[in-house]
Amino acid sequence: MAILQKKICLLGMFGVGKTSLVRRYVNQIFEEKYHTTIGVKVDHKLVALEKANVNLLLWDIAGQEEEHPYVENYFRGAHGALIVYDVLRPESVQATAEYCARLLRVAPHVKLAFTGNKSDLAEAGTLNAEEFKKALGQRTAAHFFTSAKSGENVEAAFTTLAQMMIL
Amino acid sequence: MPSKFEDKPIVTVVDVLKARPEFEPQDEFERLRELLLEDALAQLRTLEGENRGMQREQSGLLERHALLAQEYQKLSQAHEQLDLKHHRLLDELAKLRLKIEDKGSFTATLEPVIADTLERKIASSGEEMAEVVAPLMAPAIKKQIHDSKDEMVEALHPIIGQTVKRAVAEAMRKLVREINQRLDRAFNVQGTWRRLKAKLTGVPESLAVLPQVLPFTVEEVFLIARKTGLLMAHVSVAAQTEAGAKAQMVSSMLTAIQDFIKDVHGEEKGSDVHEFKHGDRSTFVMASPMLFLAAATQGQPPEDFSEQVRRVLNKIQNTCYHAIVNFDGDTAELQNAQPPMRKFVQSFEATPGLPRKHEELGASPAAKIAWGTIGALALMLLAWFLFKPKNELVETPPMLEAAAATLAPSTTPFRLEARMNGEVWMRVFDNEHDSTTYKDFRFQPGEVYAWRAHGSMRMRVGNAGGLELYLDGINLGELGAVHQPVTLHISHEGVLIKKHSPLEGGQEGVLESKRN
Repeated sequence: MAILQKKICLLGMFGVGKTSLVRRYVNQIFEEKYHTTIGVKVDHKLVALEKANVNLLLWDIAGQEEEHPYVENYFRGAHGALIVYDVLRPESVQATAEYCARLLRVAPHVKLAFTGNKSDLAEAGTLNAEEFKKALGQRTAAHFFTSAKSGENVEAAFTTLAQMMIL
Repeated sequence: MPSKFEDKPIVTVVDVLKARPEFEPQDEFERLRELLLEDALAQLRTLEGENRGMQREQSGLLERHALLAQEYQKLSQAHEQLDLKHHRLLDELAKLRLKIEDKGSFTATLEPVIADTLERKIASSGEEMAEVVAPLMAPAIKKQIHDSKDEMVEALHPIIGQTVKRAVAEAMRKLVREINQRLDRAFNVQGTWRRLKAKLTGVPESLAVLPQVLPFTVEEVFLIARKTGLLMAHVSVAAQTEAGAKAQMVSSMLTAIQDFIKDVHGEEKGSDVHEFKHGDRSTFVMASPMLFLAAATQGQPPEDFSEQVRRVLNKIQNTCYHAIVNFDGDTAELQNAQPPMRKFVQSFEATPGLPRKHEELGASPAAKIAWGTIGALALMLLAWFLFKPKNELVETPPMLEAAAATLAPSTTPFRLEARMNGEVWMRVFDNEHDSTTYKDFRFQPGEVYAWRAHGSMRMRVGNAGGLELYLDGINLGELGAVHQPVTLHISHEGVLIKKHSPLEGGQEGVLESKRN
């Protein structure tokens, strides 16, 4: 079976748990110091799907946009994006719209999935969907409540995004 | 309340006995007494027996007590002696502790024996001692050098000089041997050219050959999709399984670093990082509009290494153009990129000091003759090149210069230089507004061509991604994709680019851009 390569960007405010999600999902090779140097760290994970084996290249992009604006070039050619927010921080939910808009400017055909992380710390499912509607417009996207701490839904979020990308 | 037996007569034993006719009170009482006391007497006898047993036991116990008393006496004496010894030992211990705590005294105690002990230990188990002492050596020497540099220099001077001398001599012998081997095999175009160059420039031939004998290897080559950072093809001297998994991330990180640097310094065209260095390892990156070709190397690269990388990149672009344009993550479609990359890596796999594969041209007699002929021609060209009046790479064709002079009202002159990365077809019009007179060119990768013009000039290029244009020395940046036809209007102010669809050749472009 063919091995396809797909690029996934992880976006979200600083501290929402992007790196923890990646750490939970893959066996890492690069040190995390790259976040503080060039603002991105790439990991990979081979996922066996029904249609193909997909090698996911996960671009974990540092969320320090206040001091160091995103290098929007990092979004170029992305096949998928996981936009992460913190279920305990409403401002991180609001920020998803901005990330989405910036991403779509550079990669208009990207497949999207939203994850409300740290679901182990709060009651899930109480969030206002308006922010997501605002971010998505006419598009559709997957949504998950994940916990990098317990591992809940982490695999499912990435696998679903991988399936969306090869459709 | 009356007893329920109250109304009945009480009959005793005496009454029963009195009722018997032969009753003799004295005898009967005696017999009765015997009957009544029989059990008690038996019990008494048992008790008497037990009493005797206990008396015997008591006597035994008394004997044991006496023995134990004797033992106790002895143990008490022994305890007293031990207590005495214990106190003596405590005194000894206190004295020893005092000796140990007092460094002077301790050193004085050990001094006479330590040398002998170490000597014996080294003799009996030298390797074990070396293992123990080795970790201390470096910090000890470091400290010693820090604390008493002069003494260390003085101590090491006699051996350092000889050590360095021997190492340098050995390295030089090896180098000379390799240079000689190379010179001996140098009956080929390259050797002839080198000799001629050495004679003309006055640089000894041995120096000219020096860079070629220094070890240099290409360890890995990555073909990377410039836009996504995805790895399209990868060749490594290491086992693929070992290198493959990491290569995908390395390619992404390389792209990220390129993006980051561009973001920091601005999106200036042609501003890609071309080389990352780390010690004697380097990563050369050759960029085209759609690709990066990165070569991880070790050692001193040959002078034309960048050019070689560029040639590989061009070859891949030419052979896999459609797969590159349509690449969406499926590396199977880029299998054809592997052979030139593998060949490139293998060409640097030769044993140090021996000629590399790409340098072995002209090894067979027939090839030597062929190369000799080519060499002679090359020499003639070289002579022309050396003695021509100007050192321009290529002279501006007079026809074009004249034509360009009449093109536009502006008379500002400019110099346009084209450096080919790929095979490029080009039509240069004599007149900016007239398409009937022109001159066609077909360039090969690596070729450079220059024009001098006044006012403006117009050209049509068949492979915009296959060349770089320099206007008065300034790179005009990306002109279009590989194999994309473009029309360029150039003046001293910059270039106006009209891009055409490669599939619908001739249709006017969808994009126009002007660059200064």
